[in-house]
Parts: sequence; structure tokens; C-alpha cells
Amino acid sequence: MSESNIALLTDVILITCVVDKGKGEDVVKAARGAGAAGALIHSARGVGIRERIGLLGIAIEAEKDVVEMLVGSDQAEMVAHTIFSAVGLGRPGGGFIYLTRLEQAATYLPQEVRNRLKEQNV
Amino acid sequence: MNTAGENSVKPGASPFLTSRKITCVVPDDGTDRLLIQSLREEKGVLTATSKPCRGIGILRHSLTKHGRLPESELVRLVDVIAPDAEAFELFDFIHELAGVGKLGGGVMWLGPALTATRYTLPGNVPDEASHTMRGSD
Repeated sequence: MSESNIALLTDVILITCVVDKGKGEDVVKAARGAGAAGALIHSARGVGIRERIGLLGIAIEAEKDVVEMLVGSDQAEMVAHTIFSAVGLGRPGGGFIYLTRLEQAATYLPQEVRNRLKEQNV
Repeated sequence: MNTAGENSVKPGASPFLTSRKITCVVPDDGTDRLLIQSLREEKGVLTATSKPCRGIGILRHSLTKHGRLPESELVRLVDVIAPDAEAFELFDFIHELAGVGKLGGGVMWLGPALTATRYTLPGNVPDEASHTMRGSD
């Protein structure tokens, strides 16, 4: 946490996972099981290699769920691996996941958490 | 910074800028519209978008019946592409304006540096009627 009035969190990783529509909740369940807290789910329309495998060349559009979640850098890889295994991202068309290291993040922190972080000089 | 009324990139200037993406998750109560309007009017930032999302808050109980997820709620995801030099200042501005530090205020983060093109608008474009933007105040 920084010294400013804003409770800034550092060492935060943004995990983004793109999966078939309807599987977003499975991603969140797996992530929560691995220690992630909150998550966001929104819809997207995927267009890519699937375009070329459509019947008679007709483009196939795939509705996707995009799941985003913030996790600490120490647990990011474990959460990502858990999601990878639980949702089956290793199979063709299963989806993909990527991790982005963030500069800083901010949210509401209860006073006791702020005090604890202060004591730890975080 | 790009402002409304600049209708073209100056000759010789690179169309690309080192920028950062500020992402803000706010309640679906009109905060996103107020935020985008204030960014434009007070900071001259045109590169802000808002989209709907389902959010599962971190303070919800993680254990629910039959292992189900907690009920999600509608939230807005606001993305702001900010010039690198002003990104941290804009982060603080958004944090204050959106009330992110308050209980239920949401969460926001600042991503790594990236490259973005300048975004300009033609001049003499009338503003959206103000009552539609701040009617819920």
C-alpha cells in the first residue's frame, strides 16, 4: 500500500480469460477455489480462425465470455493454472488466458486491513 | 492531451502516443456517465468508454449453497486511455470522482504502458443534452 490517501495496491496481476459463452462462471468458480476473490464477466464476439472453417466459407461468429479478475502476483500463476485445467483451455477452441502486470490498483479497504498494512509497512 | 475541437493530428506529429489504460469498475448507477462527462469537460479526455458487466464483489461470502457462485450484480466497466504523462493524475481524479475508495465504490487499476493513437473529434459537434448525462444526480 502506498503512503498517499488513496489505498494503492501494487503487485497486482490482472487475469483475463476468454472462453465460450456460458463458461464464464466455471472460470470464476475455479478461480475462487484457487484463492481469487472478485471477478467480472462480460460478453464478446470472437472472430478469428473459426471464420475459415465455416460451411461453404460462411463466417462463424462465436459468442464468448470474457472474465477478468485481480489477484496478487504471488498467487497469479496458481490461479491461472487452475483455470487452465478446470476449464480445459488446453483443447482446441477451449479459449485462452493472459496475465497483465498492473502498475497499481485501488479499491475500498476496511480500516482494519489498512491498519494491518500500515503496521507491516506495506 | 486530445481535446474536443482539435479536428486533426498536427502535420509531422506522430499519430501514436505512449499511453496507459485506466480501468474502473463502478456501480451501474450513472457514475460511468458522470465520469465520462467530467473527463471530457474537466480534463479534455475523449478516450473513455463504458460497457456493462456482471460483477462478483470480493466482499461477498465465497461459500454459498451447493457450491454456487454468489449472485452477480450489474456494474459498468469504464476504460480510459490516458497519455502516459497524465495517467497517474487522471487515476487520482477518477478515484476521487467515482468514489472508488468508499464501500461499494468499485475497483480501479492502471495498466502498463502501451501505444495508442490520438483520438480527435471534428469541431462544432454539439454536446449531448446535459439532462441525459446528469439527470440522475
